[in-house]
Amino acid sequence: MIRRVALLALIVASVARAQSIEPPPEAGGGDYTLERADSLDDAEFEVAIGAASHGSGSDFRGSQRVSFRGGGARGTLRDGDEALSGGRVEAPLARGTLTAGRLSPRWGRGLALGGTGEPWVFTAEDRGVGARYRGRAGTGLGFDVRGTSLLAGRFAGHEVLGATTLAGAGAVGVLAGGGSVQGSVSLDSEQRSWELAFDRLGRWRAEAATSGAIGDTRVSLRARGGLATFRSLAEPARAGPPRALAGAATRAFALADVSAFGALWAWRAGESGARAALEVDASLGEHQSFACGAEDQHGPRREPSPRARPSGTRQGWWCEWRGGSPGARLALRHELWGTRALARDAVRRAVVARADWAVPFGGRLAFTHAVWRVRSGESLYLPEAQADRLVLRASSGAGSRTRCDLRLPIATGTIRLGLSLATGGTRSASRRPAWSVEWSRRSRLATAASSSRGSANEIRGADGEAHEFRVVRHAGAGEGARGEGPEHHPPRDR
Amino acid sequence: MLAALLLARAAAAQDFSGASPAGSTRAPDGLLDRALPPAMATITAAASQTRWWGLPDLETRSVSVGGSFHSWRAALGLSQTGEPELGWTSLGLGFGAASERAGAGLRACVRRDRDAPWSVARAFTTGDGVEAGAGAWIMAGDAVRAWASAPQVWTSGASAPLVRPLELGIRVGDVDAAWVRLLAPRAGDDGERALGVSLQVAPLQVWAEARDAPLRGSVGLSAAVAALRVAARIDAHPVLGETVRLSLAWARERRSHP
Repeated sequence: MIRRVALLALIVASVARAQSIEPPPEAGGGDYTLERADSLDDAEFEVAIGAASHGSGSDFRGSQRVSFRGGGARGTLRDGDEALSGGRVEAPLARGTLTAGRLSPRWGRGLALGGTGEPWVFTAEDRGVGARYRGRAGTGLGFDVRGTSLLAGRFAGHEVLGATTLAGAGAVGVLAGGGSVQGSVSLDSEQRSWELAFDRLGRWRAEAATSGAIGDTRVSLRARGGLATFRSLAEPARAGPPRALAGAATRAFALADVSAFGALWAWRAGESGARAALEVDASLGEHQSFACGAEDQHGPRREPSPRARPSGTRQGWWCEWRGGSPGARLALRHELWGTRALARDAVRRAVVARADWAVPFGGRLAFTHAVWRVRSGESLYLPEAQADRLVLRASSGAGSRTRCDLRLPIATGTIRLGLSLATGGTRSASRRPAWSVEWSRRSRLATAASSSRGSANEIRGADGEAHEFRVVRHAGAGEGARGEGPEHHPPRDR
Repeated sequence: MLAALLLARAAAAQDFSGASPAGSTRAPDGLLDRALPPAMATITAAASQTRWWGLPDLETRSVSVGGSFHSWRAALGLSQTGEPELGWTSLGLGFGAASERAGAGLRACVRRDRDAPWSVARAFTTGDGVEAGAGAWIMAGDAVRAWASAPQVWTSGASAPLVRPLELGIRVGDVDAAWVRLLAPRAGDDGERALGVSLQVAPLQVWAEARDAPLRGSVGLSAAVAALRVAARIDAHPVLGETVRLSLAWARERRSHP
């Protein structure tokens, strides 16, 4: 089952990976931080201590982090971190897996638990096993054994109990909490999945997704139907539209990969939306690439309030070039959105440049500078990739943001120094430079198990994948979890 | 006088801009003006004069020297603009590293008004405008150069008269070349886009560039004799008029460009 789910997610991800990441519906205003799934091998642990400037004064705040994986157990604990406090631990227990701390499960298509909330997104990036990012749906306890999963925790402000069990490729689950009970019936196969979720008042939603190939073109489709009044009791903000139809297709040509996306959705009568996008991604040799795309959007992307003004049309285009060698790289990006055809009457424009170099002693220096201009009422998020997280910086008005990162191996570990300077309109930044410093060390728990990749002191961890460089567009959210998956899989997504 | 004062503000952030076309790996002003170090190890000395929009009272005069040590590049420049009543003096410093395939640099500029005679005591008082920026370029192919220049990443003191935003550019070719530039938007505009071409008819090199918002253009001509290069550039603006730049540079290259 896990293999099937992972395979389906991988196919969907490969079809639609070109899209950028956006804060989830439950996120408030301001910056939003996504925690990366850890990259630890088996029998490894990592400790990190750091400090970062806090507020507009000279205050700073220290933080600590411990991550471990081995013997079927794994976890991450954090302290002092404003955006990612708390942690999560998994450990084998009674032939099953006990999980404590932050929970971000996904059942089936996510109608009852672990949905995306975005009409055009197939699978949430931060829900379920193998997700690229660790979500924060709730906190509590979970236990998985022999195809049965139990959870008890606090989700969306109230206590939730849940149980699900597998039966072949199918699964049946029940959620209870907040005076309500919801059921879920789902089926996951290698190329198809569907889910029916309902509550005791007869409210329901159903969704089906399929992926496959038509000739050399890989295609994914998703359809959803149901009642607008149905909402997941655990994650009501991610309910998404009750009716939606989305498709994605990718084909590799000799010069470039071409992807097309389309989605239609309706929140309620008279509140519908549509989105279409075309993206071209060309590899220009071993280390260079060029990508560009155009997109058209109509209607509200997020569930509008009954008194909200109708959302207009947005058309945009973007292009991005990356080049250089591993020793010196440069990436340039430009993005423009307008309210009229061909992106005229601009409402959002962003220009980003990033350069990074190898420096002596095995270090790396990166310099990112972004300039934007956003019309009042529009939103723009600038991604800022850091060692263990991706921060989406909320930006408004006209301004610029500069970030300099230096990584150096030092004292049997790695030290990361970061300096950010923002000018102009941002919701969170002042004119004072913001700094951060973190020292981390990754070690093996047992020297005998030396078959894993890399050395103990090697610098690892992501510094921003290609999709993370992208400016978050008016519409656009990643989909498709991917990853190697944990060494000790629970029988259900968690 | 008032018009000259207002117009002068727009010229202030280009104290070291010479008459070279954009994206040239040989521009002697690249490191000082845009934090883009030259690809070649060179020793340069340059002087330039700019008459902004045909105003005789608004001229910029600058001198600069540059040098290199292995892959390191450095440049120092001094510039003076306008009459004492409304002019200013700028001191620029650039530092970077470059190879034949890539380069990166930092620049800093200190600007002080000329409304009072220079004195040692005044040199240590506040009131200066300071700006610092960074830039990087890379050879994306045999003759394809991409660059990013952010001349004003950080500013302090007296506000910079003109906001110089991030500039991205790609240039194809060396002496016979075409390029495209993109300037990020500022608070009061929607950015700028430019398209240019350059042709060499030895010993002359001619180039032209068209820009939008508003639509305008520049043409340039340069001639090289041994280590000396003389260049002229004219920028035409539909409202402000013409800006004329002249530059004379001496450059000694330590190794040939690929």
